[in-house]
Amino acid sequence: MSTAHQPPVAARFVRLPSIAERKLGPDYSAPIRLDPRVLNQMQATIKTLGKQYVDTLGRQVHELLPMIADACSGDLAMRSKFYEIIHDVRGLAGTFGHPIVGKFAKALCNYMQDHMTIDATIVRFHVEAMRDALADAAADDRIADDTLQSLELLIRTTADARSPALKRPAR
Amino acid sequence: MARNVFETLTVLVVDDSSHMRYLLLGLLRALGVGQIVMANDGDEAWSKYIKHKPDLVITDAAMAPTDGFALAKRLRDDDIVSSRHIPIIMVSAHTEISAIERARDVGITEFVRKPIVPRALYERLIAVVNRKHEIMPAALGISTDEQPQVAFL
Repeated sequence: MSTAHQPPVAARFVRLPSIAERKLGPDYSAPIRLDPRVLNQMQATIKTLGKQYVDTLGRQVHELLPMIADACSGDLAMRSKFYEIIHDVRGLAGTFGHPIVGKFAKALCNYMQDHMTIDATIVRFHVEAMRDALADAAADDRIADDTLQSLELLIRTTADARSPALKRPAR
Repeated sequence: MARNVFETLTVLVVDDSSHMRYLLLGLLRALGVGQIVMANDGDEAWSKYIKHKPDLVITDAAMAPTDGFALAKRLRDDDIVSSRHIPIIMVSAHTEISAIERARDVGITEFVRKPIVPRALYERLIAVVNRKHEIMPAALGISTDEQPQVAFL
């Protein structure tokens, strides 16, 4: 649409300084590219913290197995505690070099978010997949994806066999 | 040599996972951030905000009792002008469209997905510190009656 015949609009343009300009003055010019030395230092930080985190991750995954029965029994406090651990793993495992463990944790988080009633076998398969992926850090990504697809199929078939009322609508 | 802008910053990091807090602490230190304040959830973050007046906030989404969305809303809605305009970076594993829309609606400035990739965090921080600040006309003492059209560049 043409604006040629519209009357001019009274406008005031306010240009405010960025945080960098406020801190370092108007002459500050933003870097055009990321500093590779800083990126290397960030990677080194992750590597160092990852060495400490792997023990925690192993402990968390092994803590989950004995919790499954209670978490799936309708005990909301146990379910919440179980979910917290899975959610923590989901957010951290990938960053610290265990992306496959993180993928299984994400799939399990999604399953728990989408279903009011959770099946102990499905949960156990996810946790065992996380444990196996952790034990074999060089695990093949394709095998992990195949396993995830099988787990998704298992979730669908289990949900179909249950009452539809037990399944929450998709988010 | 040009001064590193990150050295001048105070950053508030909010996450209920101690591992994630220490990861962010390490990454921000690698960037040379001057002061890093940490909080366990949205409530603690609010009191730390009042005390330290950080230049930006990095927050997780899912936390109890007060999550990152509620924290962002509180910062945006409060009468403290500096909190209404502070850049907020949300770091979350919840990357579904509903979560991202919710983040946008409460005024999150940038969204970084977990697992964290250093480059992604670095890029978002660079973007945030170099973005021209946006302030509502009233905060500048500009009457919207007198100046009906105010554009921010």
